[in-house]
Amino acid sequence: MEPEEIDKIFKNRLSGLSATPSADAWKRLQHKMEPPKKNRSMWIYYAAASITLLIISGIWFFTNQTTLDNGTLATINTPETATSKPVHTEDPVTIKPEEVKTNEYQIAQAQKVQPEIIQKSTPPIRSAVKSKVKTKIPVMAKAAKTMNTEDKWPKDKATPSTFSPTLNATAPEEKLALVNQDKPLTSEMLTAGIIEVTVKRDNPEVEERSELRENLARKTSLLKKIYKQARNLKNGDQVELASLGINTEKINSEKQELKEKLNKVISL
Amino acid sequence: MNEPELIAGLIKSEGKTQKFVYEKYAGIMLGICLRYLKNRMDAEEVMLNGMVKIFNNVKQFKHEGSFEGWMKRIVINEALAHLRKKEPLHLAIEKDHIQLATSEATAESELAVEDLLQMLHELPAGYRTVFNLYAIEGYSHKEIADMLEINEGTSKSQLSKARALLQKRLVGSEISNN
Repeated sequence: MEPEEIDKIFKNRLSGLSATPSADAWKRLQHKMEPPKKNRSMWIYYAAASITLLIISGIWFFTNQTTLDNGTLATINTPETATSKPVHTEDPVTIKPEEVKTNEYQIAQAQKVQPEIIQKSTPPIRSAVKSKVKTKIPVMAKAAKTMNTEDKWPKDKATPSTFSPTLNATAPEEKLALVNQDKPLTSEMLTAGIIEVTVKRDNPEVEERSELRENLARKTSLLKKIYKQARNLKNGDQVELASLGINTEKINSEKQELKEKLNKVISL
Repeated sequence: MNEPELIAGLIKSEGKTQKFVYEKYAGIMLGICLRYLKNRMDAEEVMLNGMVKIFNNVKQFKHEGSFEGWMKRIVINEALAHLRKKEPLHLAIEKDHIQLATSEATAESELAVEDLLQMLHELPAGYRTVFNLYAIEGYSHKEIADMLEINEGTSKSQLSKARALLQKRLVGSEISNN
Protein backbone atom coordinates (compact mmCIF):
# COMPACT_ATOMS: atom_id res chain seq x y z
CA MET A 1 0.00 0.00 0.00
CA GLU A 2 1.44 3.31 -1.07
CA PRO A 3 1.73 5.98 1.62
CA GLU A 4 -0.33 8.36 -0.50
CA GLU A 5 -3.03 5.74 -0.63
CA ILE A 6 -3.27 5.70 3.13
CA ASP A 7 -3.55 9.45 3.16
CA LYS A 8 -6.30 9.23 0.59
CA ILE A 9 -8.32 6.68 2.51
CA PHE A 10 -8.29 8.78 5.64
CA LYS A 11 -8.84 12.03 3.83
CA ASN A 12 -11.82 10.75 1.89
CA ARG A 13 -13.50 9.33 4.92
CA LEU A 14 -12.55 11.77 7.61
CA SER A 15 -12.17 15.19 6.03
CA GLY A 16 -15.91 15.70 5.91
CA LEU A 17 -16.40 14.16 9.32
CA SER A 18 -19.29 15.74 11.10
CA ALA A 19 -20.74 14.95 14.49
CA THR A 20 -23.74 16.39 16.24
CA PRO A 21 -22.79 18.16 19.43
CA SER A 22 -24.69 17.36 22.59
CA ALA A 23 -28.01 19.11 23.15
CA ASP A 24 -26.77 21.51 25.78
CA ALA A 25 -23.74 22.59 23.73
CA TRP A 26 -25.37 25.82 22.48
CA LYS A 27 -26.26 26.83 26.01
CA ARG A 28 -22.73 26.12 27.13
CA LEU A 29 -21.45 28.22 24.26
CA GLN A 30 -23.68 31.11 25.33
CA HIS A 31 -22.45 30.68 28.86
CA LYS A 32 -18.87 30.86 27.60
CA MET A 33 -19.71 34.05 25.70
CA GLU A 34 -21.02 35.79 28.79
CA PRO A 35 -17.99 35.97 31.13
CA PRO A 36 -16.11 38.62 29.14
CA LYS A 37 -19.16 40.92 29.26
CA LYS A 38 -19.43 40.48 33.00
CA ASN A 39 -15.76 41.13 33.43
CA ARG A 40 -15.99 44.26 31.36
CA SER A 41 -18.84 45.70 33.39
CA MET A 42 -17.06 44.85 36.62
CA TRP A 43 -13.95 46.52 35.29
CA ILE A 44 -15.95 49.70 34.65
CA TYR A 45 -17.25 49.66 38.21
CA TYR A 46 -13.77 49.19 39.59
CA ALA A 47 -12.42 51.98 37.43
CA ALA A 48 -15.23 54.34 38.41
CA ALA A 49 -14.66 53.58 42.07
CA SER A 50 -10.94 54.15 41.76
CA ILE A 51 -11.49 57.44 39.90
CA THR A 52 -13.86 58.78 42.55
CA LEU A 53 -11.41 57.72 45.22
CA LEU A 54 -8.69 59.46 43.28
CA ILE A 55 -10.63 62.71 43.08
CA ILE A 56 -11.52 62.59 46.76
CA SER A 57 -7.95 61.85 47.77
CA GLY A 58 -6.77 64.59 45.41
CA ILE A 59 -9.02 67.16 47.03
CA TRP A 60 -7.96 65.97 50.45
CA PHE A 61 -4.33 66.15 49.43
CA PHE A 62 -4.66 69.72 48.17
CA THR A 63 -6.53 71.02 51.16
CA ASN A 64 -3.80 69.50 53.28
CA GLN A 65 -1.11 71.05 51.13
CA THR A 66 -2.60 74.55 51.30
CA THR A 67 -2.67 74.44 55.10
CA LEU A 68 0.92 73.30 55.00
CA ASP A 69 1.79 76.25 52.78
CA ASN A 70 0.17 78.64 55.23
CA GLY A 71 2.28 77.12 57.94
CA THR A 72 5.50 77.69 56.07
CA LEU A 73 4.47 81.26 55.27
CA ALA A 74 3.84 81.89 58.92
CA THR A 75 7.28 80.66 59.88
CA ILE A 76 8.83 82.87 57.23
CA ASN A 77 6.93 85.83 58.57
CA THR A 78 7.87 85.42 62.19
CA PRO A 79 11.47 86.60 62.01
CA GLU A 80 10.50 89.70 60.06
CA THR A 81 7.72 90.63 62.42
CA ALA A 82 10.05 90.01 65.30
CA THR A 83 12.52 92.55 63.98
CA SER A 84 9.80 95.03 63.25
CA LYS A 85 8.12 94.52 66.59
CA PRO A 86 10.21 96.98 68.57
CA VAL A 87 9.24 99.74 66.17
CA HIS A 88 5.69 98.62 66.19
CA THR A 89 5.08 98.44 69.86
CA GLU A 90 6.82 101.64 70.66
CA ASP A 91 5.06 103.75 68.09
CA PRO A 92 2.45 104.89 70.55
CA VAL A 93 5.13 105.48 73.17
CA THR A 94 6.81 108.13 71.05
CA ILE A 95 3.91 110.42 71.70
CA LYS A 96 5.28 111.03 75.18
CA PRO A 97 7.23 114.23 74.91
CA GLU A 98 9.46 113.79 78.02
CA GLU A 99 11.13 110.67 76.78
CA VAL A 100 13.24 112.35 74.18
CA LYS A 101 15.96 109.79 74.42
CA THR A 102 13.74 106.91 73.72
CA ASN A 103 12.17 108.88 70.95
CA GLU A 104 15.53 109.41 69.42
CA TYR A 105 16.28 105.80 69.78
CA GLN A 106 13.03 104.80 68.20
CA ILE A 107 13.58 107.08 65.31
CA ALA A 108 17.02 105.66 64.87
CA GLN A 109 15.55 102.24 65.14
CA ALA A 110 12.90 103.04 62.63
CA GLN A 111 15.51 104.20 60.20
CA LYS A 112 17.71 101.23 60.85
CA VAL A 113 14.94 98.88 60.14
CA GLN A 114 14.33 100.63 56.87
CA PRO A 115 17.53 99.47 55.20
CA GLU A 116 17.16 96.11 56.83
CA ILE A 117 13.96 95.51 54.99
CA ILE A 118 15.89 95.73 51.77
CA GLN A 119 14.58 98.99 50.41
CA LYS A 120 11.01 98.28 51.11
CA SER A 121 10.36 101.76 52.32
CA THR A 122 9.07 104.21 49.80
CA PRO A 123 11.72 106.59 48.45
CA PRO A 124 9.75 109.86 48.97
CA ILE A 125 9.74 109.37 52.70
CA ARG A 126 13.44 108.79 52.74
CA SER A 127 14.12 111.89 50.80
CA ALA A 128 11.87 113.79 53.13
CA VAL A 129 13.87 112.57 56.04
CA LYS A 130 17.11 113.46 54.35
CA SER A 131 15.96 116.94 53.45
CA LYS A 132 15.17 117.71 57.03
CA VAL A 133 18.59 116.65 58.12
CA LYS A 134 20.34 119.75 59.41
CA THR A 135 23.30 119.03 61.55
CA LYS A 136 23.47 120.12 65.17
CA ILE A 137 26.59 118.51 66.39
CA PRO A 138 26.03 118.47 70.15
CA VAL A 139 22.66 116.87 69.83
CA MET A 140 24.07 114.45 67.41
CA ALA A 141 26.67 113.43 69.94
CA LYS A 142 23.93 113.04 72.45
CA ALA A 143 22.04 110.85 70.14
CA ALA A 144 25.08 108.80 69.52
CA LYS A 145 25.56 108.37 73.23
CA THR A 146 22.01 107.36 73.79
CA MET A 147 22.31 104.90 71.05
CA ASN A 148 25.43 103.42 72.54
CA THR A 149 23.90 103.15 75.96
CA GLU A 150 20.68 101.73 74.78
CA ASP A 151 22.41 99.48 72.41
CA LYS A 152 22.16 96.63 74.83
CA TRP A 153 18.44 96.75 75.18
CA PRO A 154 17.53 95.63 71.68
CA LYS A 155 20.33 93.09 71.75
CA ASP A 156 18.24 91.03 74.10
CA LYS A 157 15.49 90.68 71.56
CA ALA A 158 17.22 90.92 68.25
CA THR A 159 20.24 88.88 67.35
CA PRO A 160 23.43 90.86 67.96
CA SER A 161 25.14 89.77 64.79
CA THR A 162 22.50 91.26 62.55
CA PHE A 163 21.76 94.28 64.60
CA SER A 164 25.13 95.84 65.36
CA PRO A 165 26.60 95.91 61.85
CA THR A 166 23.56 97.65 60.48
CA LEU A 167 23.80 100.09 63.31
CA ASN A 168 27.37 100.98 62.43
CA ALA A 169 26.76 101.13 58.74
CA THR A 170 23.75 103.35 58.92
CA ALA A 171 24.98 105.33 61.88
CA PRO A 172 26.03 108.58 60.15
CA GLU A 173 22.80 109.04 58.30
CA GLU A 174 20.69 108.19 61.23
CA LYS A 175 22.56 110.47 63.54
CA LEU A 176 21.94 113.26 61.15
CA ALA A 177 18.33 112.36 61.04
CA LEU A 178 18.15 112.35 64.77
CA VAL A 179 19.29 115.95 64.99
CA ASN A 180 15.89 117.33 64.25
CA GLN A 181 13.95 116.28 67.22
CA ASP A 182 11.09 118.60 66.61
CA LYS A 183 7.70 117.17 66.93
CA PRO A 184 6.77 117.46 63.26
CA LEU A 185 9.77 115.37 62.39
CA THR A 186 9.03 112.68 64.90
CA SER A 187 5.48 112.54 63.74
CA GLU A 188 6.72 112.23 60.25
CA MET A 189 9.03 109.52 61.34
CA LEU A 190 6.11 107.88 62.99
CA THR A 191 4.19 107.97 59.78
CA ALA A 192 7.23 106.60 58.09
CA GLY A 193 7.22 103.82 60.62
CA ILE A 194 3.57 103.11 59.95
CA ILE A 195 4.17 103.01 56.26
CA GLU A 196 7.02 100.65 56.87
CA VAL A 197 4.74 98.31 58.68
CA THR A 198 2.22 98.33 55.91
CA VAL A 199 4.97 97.69 53.38
CA LYS A 200 6.21 94.81 55.40
CA ARG A 201 2.80 93.35 55.47
CA ASP A 202 2.44 93.89 51.80
CA ASN A 203 5.39 91.91 50.72
CA PRO A 204 4.52 88.61 52.36
CA GLU A 205 1.08 89.02 50.90
CA VAL A 206 2.60 89.28 47.45
CA GLU A 207 4.62 86.20 48.16
CA GLU A 208 1.53 84.49 49.42
CA ARG A 209 -0.34 85.50 46.33
CA SER A 210 2.32 84.19 43.99
CA GLU A 211 2.40 80.97 45.90
CA LEU A 212 -1.35 80.72 45.80
CA ARG A 213 -1.20 81.34 42.09
CA GLU A 214 1.34 78.56 41.72
CA ASN A 215 -0.90 76.29 43.72
CA LEU A 216 -3.84 77.17 41.55
CA ALA A 217 -1.87 76.46 38.36
CA ARG A 218 -0.76 73.12 39.77
CA LYS A 219 -4.30 72.24 40.73
CA THR A 220 -5.74 73.20 37.36
CA SER A 221 -3.12 71.19 35.49
CA LEU A 222 -3.84 68.17 37.68
CA LEU A 223 -7.56 68.61 37.25
CA LYS A 224 -6.99 68.69 33.51
CA LYS A 225 -5.06 65.44 33.74
CA ILE A 226 -7.79 63.88 35.84
CA TYR A 227 -10.38 65.01 33.33
CA LYS A 228 -8.31 63.58 30.50
CA GLN A 229 -8.03 60.20 32.22
CA ALA A 230 -11.73 60.25 32.97
CA ARG A 231 -12.41 60.88 29.30
CA ASN A 232 -10.06 57.99 28.40
CA LEU A 233 -12.04 55.83 30.76
CA LYS A 234 -15.30 56.87 29.18
CA ASN A 235 -13.95 56.10 25.70
CA GLY A 236 -12.68 52.77 26.89
CA ASP A 237 -9.04 53.72 26.39
CA GLN A 238 -6.30 52.90 28.83
CA VAL A 239 -6.31 54.90 32.02
CA GLU A 240 -2.89 55.90 33.26
CA LEU A 241 -3.04 56.61 36.94
CA ALA A 242 0.69 57.19 36.92
CA SER A 243 0.24 60.40 34.91
CA LEU A 244 -1.78 61.79 37.80
CA GLY A 245 1.17 61.14 40.06
CA ILE A 246 -0.76 58.58 42.03
CA ASN A 247 0.09 54.94 42.25
CA THR A 248 -1.89 52.12 43.73
CA GLU A 249 0.25 51.98 46.85
CA LYS A 250 -0.50 55.60 47.58
CA ILE A 251 -4.19 55.07 46.98
CA ASN A 252 -4.19 52.08 49.26
CA SER A 253 -2.40 53.93 52.01
CA GLU A 254 -4.80 56.85 51.63
CA LYS A 255 -7.69 54.47 51.67
CA GLN A 256 -6.44 53.04 54.91
CA GLU A 257 -6.02 56.50 56.38
CA LEU A 258 -9.53 57.41 55.38
CA LYS A 259 -10.81 54.20 56.88
CA GLU A 260 -9.01 54.93 60.11
CA LYS A 261 -10.48 58.40 60.19
CA LEU A 262 -13.93 57.04 59.56
CA ASN A 263 -13.46 54.49 62.30
CA LYS A 264 -12.41 57.22 64.69
CA VAL A 265 -15.47 59.26 63.79
CA ILE A 266 -17.69 56.26 64.23
CA SER A 267 -16.15 55.38 67.57
CA LEU A 268 -16.65 58.99 68.68
CA MET B 1 -27.63 34.12 4.33
CA ASN B 2 -24.39 34.46 2.38
CA GLU B 3 -20.88 34.78 3.72
CA PRO B 4 -20.58 38.61 3.85
CA GLU B 5 -23.98 38.81 5.57
CA LEU B 6 -22.88 36.22 8.09
CA ILE B 7 -19.67 38.09 8.83
CA ALA B 8 -21.51 41.42 9.15
CA GLY B 9 -23.99 39.84 11.56
CA LEU B 10 -21.22 38.28 13.62
CA ILE B 11 -19.35 41.58 13.81
CA LYS B 12 -22.50 43.15 15.24
CA SER B 13 -22.68 40.25 17.71
CA GLU B 14 -26.19 39.40 16.56
CA GLY B 15 -27.46 36.44 18.57
CA LYS B 16 -29.51 35.29 15.60
CA THR B 17 -26.47 35.13 13.30
CA GLN B 18 -24.36 33.44 15.92
CA LYS B 19 -26.97 30.75 16.35
CA PHE B 20 -27.17 30.33 12.59
CA VAL B 21 -23.40 29.96 12.25
CA TYR B 22 -23.33 27.54 15.14
CA GLU B 23 -26.01 25.34 13.67
CA LYS B 24 -24.36 25.34 10.29
CA TYR B 25 -20.77 24.69 11.34
CA ALA B 26 -20.77 23.12 14.81
CA GLY B 27 -20.98 19.58 13.36
CA ILE B 28 -18.03 20.06 11.01
CA MET B 29 -15.95 21.75 13.69
CA LEU B 30 -16.70 18.98 16.15
CA GLY B 31 -15.66 16.48 13.45
CA ILE B 32 -12.29 18.23 13.17
CA CYS B 33 -11.80 18.21 16.92
CA LEU B 34 -12.66 14.51 17.07
CA ARG B 35 -9.80 13.73 14.70
CA TYR B 36 -7.28 15.42 16.98
CA LEU B 37 -8.64 14.49 20.38
CA LYS B 38 -9.53 11.08 21.68
CA ASN B 39 -12.02 12.21 24.28
CA ARG B 40 -15.38 13.29 22.90
CA MET B 41 -16.11 15.66 25.78
CA ASP B 42 -12.74 17.33 25.27
CA ALA B 43 -13.47 17.63 21.57
CA GLU B 44 -16.81 19.28 22.22
CA GLU B 45 -15.29 21.67 24.74
CA VAL B 46 -12.56 22.65 22.29
CA MET B 47 -15.16 23.13 19.54
CA LEU B 48 -17.17 25.47 21.77
CA ASN B 49 -14.07 27.42 22.76
CA GLY B 50 -13.21 27.72 19.08
CA MET B 51 -16.69 29.05 18.34
CA VAL B 52 -16.36 31.64 21.09
CA LYS B 53 -13.05 32.71 19.59
CA ILE B 54 -14.62 32.93 16.16
CA PHE B 55 -17.49 35.09 17.44
CA ASN B 56 -15.20 37.36 19.42
CA ASN B 57 -12.57 37.81 16.72
CA VAL B 58 -14.58 38.05 13.49
CA LYS B 59 -13.14 41.53 12.99
CA GLN B 60 -9.73 39.96 12.50
CA PHE B 61 -10.92 37.95 9.49
CA LYS B 62 -9.05 39.57 6.60
CA HIS B 63 -11.03 38.00 3.74
CA GLU B 64 -8.00 35.98 2.66
CA GLY B 65 -9.50 32.69 1.64
CA SER B 66 -12.91 31.46 2.69
CA PHE B 67 -14.55 32.27 5.99
CA GLU B 68 -15.07 28.58 6.59
CA GLY B 69 -11.36 27.97 6.13
CA TRP B 70 -10.61 30.72 8.66
CA MET B 71 -13.02 29.20 11.16
CA LYS B 72 -11.48 25.74 10.67
CA ARG B 73 -8.02 27.16 11.25
CA ILE B 74 -9.14 28.70 14.53
CA VAL B 75 -10.68 25.45 15.70
CA ILE B 76 -7.58 23.48 14.68
CA ASN B 77 -5.38 25.90 16.60
CA GLU B 78 -7.66 25.51 19.58
CA ALA B 79 -7.32 21.72 19.34
CA LEU B 80 -3.52 21.99 19.09
CA ALA B 81 -3.44 24.25 22.15
CA HIS B 82 -5.52 21.71 24.03
CA LEU B 83 -3.22 18.88 22.97
CA ARG B 84 -0.18 20.80 24.15
CA LYS B 85 -1.79 21.28 27.54
CA LYS B 86 -3.52 17.99 28.14
CA GLU B 87 -1.80 15.49 25.94
CA PRO B 88 1.82 16.50 25.40
CA LEU B 89 2.65 15.92 21.78
CA HIS B 90 5.82 13.92 22.43
CA LEU B 91 6.88 14.71 18.94
CA ALA B 92 10.30 13.24 19.56
CA ILE B 93 8.99 9.74 20.17
CA GLU B 94 11.05 7.45 17.95
CA LYS B 95 10.17 3.91 18.76
CA ASP B 96 6.96 2.23 17.82
CA HIS B 97 5.98 1.22 21.27
CA ILE B 98 2.32 0.89 20.58
CA GLN B 99 0.99 -2.54 19.89
CA LEU B 100 -2.00 -2.13 17.71
CA ALA B 101 -4.96 -4.21 18.64
CA THR B 102 -6.64 -5.80 15.68
CA SER B 103 -10.13 -4.58 15.21
CA GLU B 104 -13.03 -6.52 13.83
CA ALA B 105 -12.58 -7.48 10.27
CA THR B 106 -13.92 -5.17 7.63
CA ALA B 107 -13.11 -4.78 3.99
CA GLU B 108 -11.09 -1.69 3.21
CA SER B 109 -13.90 -0.27 1.18
CA GLU B 110 -16.25 -0.90 4.00
CA LEU B 111 -14.00 0.54 6.66
CA ALA B 112 -16.32 2.56 8.80
CA VAL B 113 -15.52 6.15 9.66
CA GLU B 114 -15.53 5.11 13.31
CA ASP B 115 -12.83 2.52 12.66
CA LEU B 116 -10.61 4.99 10.88
CA LEU B 117 -11.15 7.44 13.68
CA GLN B 118 -10.30 4.72 16.15
CA MET B 119 -7.06 4.04 14.28
CA LEU B 120 -6.19 7.69 14.38
CA HIS B 121 -6.87 7.88 18.10
CA GLU B 122 -4.56 4.95 18.71
CA LEU B 123 -1.65 6.88 17.22
CA PRO B 124 0.59 8.80 19.60
CA ALA B 125 -0.58 12.39 19.82
CA GLY B 126 2.38 13.73 17.82
CA TYR B 127 1.92 11.32 14.93
CA ARG B 128 -1.79 11.89 14.94
CA THR B 129 -1.43 15.63 14.83
CA VAL B 130 1.03 15.67 11.95
CA PHE B 131 -0.98 13.11 10.00
CA ASN B 132 -4.17 15.10 10.51
CA LEU B 133 -2.55 18.35 9.45
CA TYR B 134 -0.75 16.92 6.42
CA ALA B 135 -2.96 14.14 5.06
CA ILE B 136 -6.41 15.43 5.91
CA GLU B 137 -6.10 19.21 6.30
CA GLY B 138 -3.58 19.49 3.50
CA TYR B 139 -0.97 21.70 5.16
CA SER B 140 2.61 21.55 3.93
CA HIS B 141 5.43 20.33 6.14
CA LYS B 142 6.64 23.91 6.44
CA GLU B 143 3.28 25.13 7.68
CA ILE B 144 3.06 22.22 10.10
CA ALA B 145 6.56 22.95 11.38
CA ASP B 146 5.48 26.58 12.04
CA MET B 147 2.24 25.57 13.73
CA LEU B 148 3.81 23.01 16.02
CA GLU B 149 7.12 24.80 16.46
CA ILE B 150 9.15 21.84 15.24
CA ASN B 151 11.56 21.22 12.35
CA GLU B 152 10.28 20.33 8.94
CA GLY B 153 12.34 17.14 9.22
CA THR B 154 10.55 16.19 12.42
CA SER B 155 7.22 16.77 10.73
CA LYS B 156 8.23 14.52 7.83
CA SER B 157 9.48 11.71 10.05
CA GLN B 158 6.37 11.92 12.22
CA LEU B 159 4.22 11.64 9.13
CA SER B 160 6.03 8.59 7.78
CA LYS B 161 5.80 6.89 11.16
CA ALA B 162 2.12 7.66 11.40
CA ARG B 163 1.59 6.25 7.94
CA ALA B 164 3.51 3.09 8.79
CA LEU B 165 1.42 2.49 11.89
CA LEU B 166 -1.81 3.15 10.05
CA GLN B 167 -0.77 0.88 7.20
CA LYS B 168 -0.12 -1.93 9.66
CA ARG B 169 -3.56 -1.49 11.01
CA LEU B 170 -5.18 -1.31 7.60
CA VAL B 171 -3.32 -4.36 6.35
CA GLY B 172 -4.09 -6.18 9.56
CA SER B 173 -7.73 -5.46 9.16
CA GLU B 174 -7.58 -6.55 5.54
CA ILE B 175 -5.78 -9.76 6.38
CA SER B 176 -8.16 -10.60 9.15
CA ASN B 177 -10.94 -9.74 6.76
CA ASN B 178 -9.68 -12.19 4.20
